[in-house]
Amino acid sequence: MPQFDPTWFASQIFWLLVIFAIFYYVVAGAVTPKLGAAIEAREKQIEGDLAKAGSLKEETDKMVAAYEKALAESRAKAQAVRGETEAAAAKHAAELSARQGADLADKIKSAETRIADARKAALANVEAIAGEIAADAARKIAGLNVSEADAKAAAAAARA
Amino acid sequence: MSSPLDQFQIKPIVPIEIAGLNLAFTNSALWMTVAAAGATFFLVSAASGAKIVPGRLQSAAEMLYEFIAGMVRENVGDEGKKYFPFFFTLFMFVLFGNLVGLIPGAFTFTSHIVVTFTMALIIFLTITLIGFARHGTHFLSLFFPSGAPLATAPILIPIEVISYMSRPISLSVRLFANMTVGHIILKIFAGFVISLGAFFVIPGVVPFSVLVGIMALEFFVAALQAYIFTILACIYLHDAIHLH
Repeated sequence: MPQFDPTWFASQIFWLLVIFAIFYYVVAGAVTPKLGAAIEAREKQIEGDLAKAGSLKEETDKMVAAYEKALAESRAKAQAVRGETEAAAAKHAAELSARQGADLADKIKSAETRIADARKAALANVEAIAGEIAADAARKIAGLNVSEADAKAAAAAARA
Repeated sequence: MSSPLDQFQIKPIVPIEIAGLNLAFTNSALWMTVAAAGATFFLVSAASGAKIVPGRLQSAAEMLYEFIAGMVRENVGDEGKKYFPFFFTLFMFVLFGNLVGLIPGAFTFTSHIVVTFTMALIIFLTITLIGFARHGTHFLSLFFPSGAPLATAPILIPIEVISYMSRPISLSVRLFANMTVGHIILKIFAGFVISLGAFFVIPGVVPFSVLVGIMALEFFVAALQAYIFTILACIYLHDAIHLH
């Protein structure tokens, strides 16, 4: 086998050392640092972007929470305002109806008094007219002259 | 017809002799240069314009980078980080050597035991030095598993020493034998295609289709052996740093 021919051993070892050394110098000097830096820079950027995204999400969550809190607060406030307004309206309505009721009662009372007065007057007239009629009737039927006062008394007695 | 071993023949291109040593620039050195230059061209053009969002070339180079970085991290640990450029260079050199050797008519320098053994020996010696530098004489405890009864020392220590010393041999022979055998098989089947196809077209198709399959297999072997060569170097470094 040509592999075991020692003629070329020295030459092969020599060129291997020379070429490998140059190759190592180039790779270690110009390749691995740059590739490593590129990979590291990418990892750093991804990490940074993820961290940024995380902090942005946190901020968004905070804002959403604040929004929801504000919404709940304003909802409660609106409820309170509505309750107050309703209570005020109810009170006002009650006051109004109470006042109107009082007015109405006064009016009814005065009307009733007026009716009672009118009835009394009417009744008094009726008594007078009844006395007259009774006196007239006594004169025409019995030929009796009855004073009006007597007739009135008799009519009152009859009515009683 | 040429022998299947002819492809491993070394031919001088530029004869050089220094201090009585034959240091000729040969076809082996030429293809070593091609492999290293090809890998350099690929890696430098991928790395020179490295961006946050990588292009195709940069993605491919980064995949290889992360593959070897992961291998070093898993097999050596965090202490292996500073040796990463060496392992990356080693992997790319062997990988491109194996792949370039698959070009018809090319020379596969990784099919030469001298080359693989020199690489393995450099790895072995460097790692042994790192071990002694880190642990001093305590590094020798690598040859005696802690917890084993002292009486077993006369048996265990020679076994551990021999297994440690045979590492560069097994490492280099594995790569050399795989590449050599693969290329011999390719050559033999290629010979069948020629000898059968020259007389009958149809029978030549059979070894040709086998040849296509073996070629695909050899691409796989080329990558796999580069991987095995590098990962074993990582594991040896792990032993030197962590002592089992």
